[in-house]
Amino acid sequence: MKPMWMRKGLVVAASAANERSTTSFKVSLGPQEVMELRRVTFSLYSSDPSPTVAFHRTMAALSSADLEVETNLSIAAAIGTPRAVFARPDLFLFSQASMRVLDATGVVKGFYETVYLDPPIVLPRTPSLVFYNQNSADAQVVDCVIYYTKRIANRDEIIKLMKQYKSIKPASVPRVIDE
Amino acid sequence: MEWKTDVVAITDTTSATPVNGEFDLDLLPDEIAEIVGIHSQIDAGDVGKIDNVGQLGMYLSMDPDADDDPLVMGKLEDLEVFFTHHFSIGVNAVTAASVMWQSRTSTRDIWLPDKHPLLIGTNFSQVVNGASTVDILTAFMTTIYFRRRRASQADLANILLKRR
Repeated sequence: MKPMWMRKGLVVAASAANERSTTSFKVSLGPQEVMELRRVTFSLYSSDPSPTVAFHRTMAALSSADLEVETNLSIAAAIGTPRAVFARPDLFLFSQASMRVLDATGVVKGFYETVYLDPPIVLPRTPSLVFYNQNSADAQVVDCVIYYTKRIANRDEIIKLMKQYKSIKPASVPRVIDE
Repeated sequence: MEWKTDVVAITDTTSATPVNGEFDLDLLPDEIAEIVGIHSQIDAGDVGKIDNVGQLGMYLSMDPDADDDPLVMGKLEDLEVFFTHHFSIGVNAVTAASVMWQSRTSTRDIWLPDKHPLLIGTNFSQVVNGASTVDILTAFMTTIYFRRRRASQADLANILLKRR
């Protein structure tokens, strides 16, 4: 029987330059369940309809770090400048948009990306969306949708997955998060 | 499946010197990596509202010390090169009323069939370069998704043969 695909979306906004945030997708995972991430869509765009001559850069990344272990701020601080920090082992997929509006009559557009993960990325816990509005004083929005399946994993596999995220302190088992 | 990200940021895109960033997969002597996915983004910074023409390029090579220029297309015919990504930007500021918006980000990702991954036996390199009228601070961000496994002597020999 084919596993059932599920989806979960998040919309996060930042209204100021250098504003950061981290938000959990809050997918319920049972103690023995793992998530198989199969598709991710990112939309990065300005929510301000009035165009201004400016340079915009927004960044988004998915993290497998445990929000209960790492504070939101420490995960969010992981993206931005220098961008070498994107190499953190818990950040497994990123998207960024840079754009310049050259004329005040212009329109600020967005950046859209779909990543097809086949084979899927197996995660022992629900991922988080990290968002950083680097340059723009305008309100910026990221909406991210993950498509995933769940399956039962044995304890060895879960421990192995936990160890894979080298810098992350392993939790005993993936926890259940209320929707 | 594991992943590894390498970020190479360059500030000088007018003198056109290739920069090498090495992917260290921590492979044991008898281990190989099966690469199943590559996600690459080229993100070009801002130089203001001025005329500029820029070409940005990168490649991944099985040679960890590769330093051939990714903007010289002939170099990409090397058998060790297994992924390329190029991006161009043109800005004509005097026609601002008609050129109102430009994206400075380019994405490329590939996923290989599960049964036919790309085999890597050593560290490998990400080589990047840019050529533009005015310097563009550019970040080349590449994530590879891979599995590691014990390799037979035949596997290792085959990989080394592919590297000539």
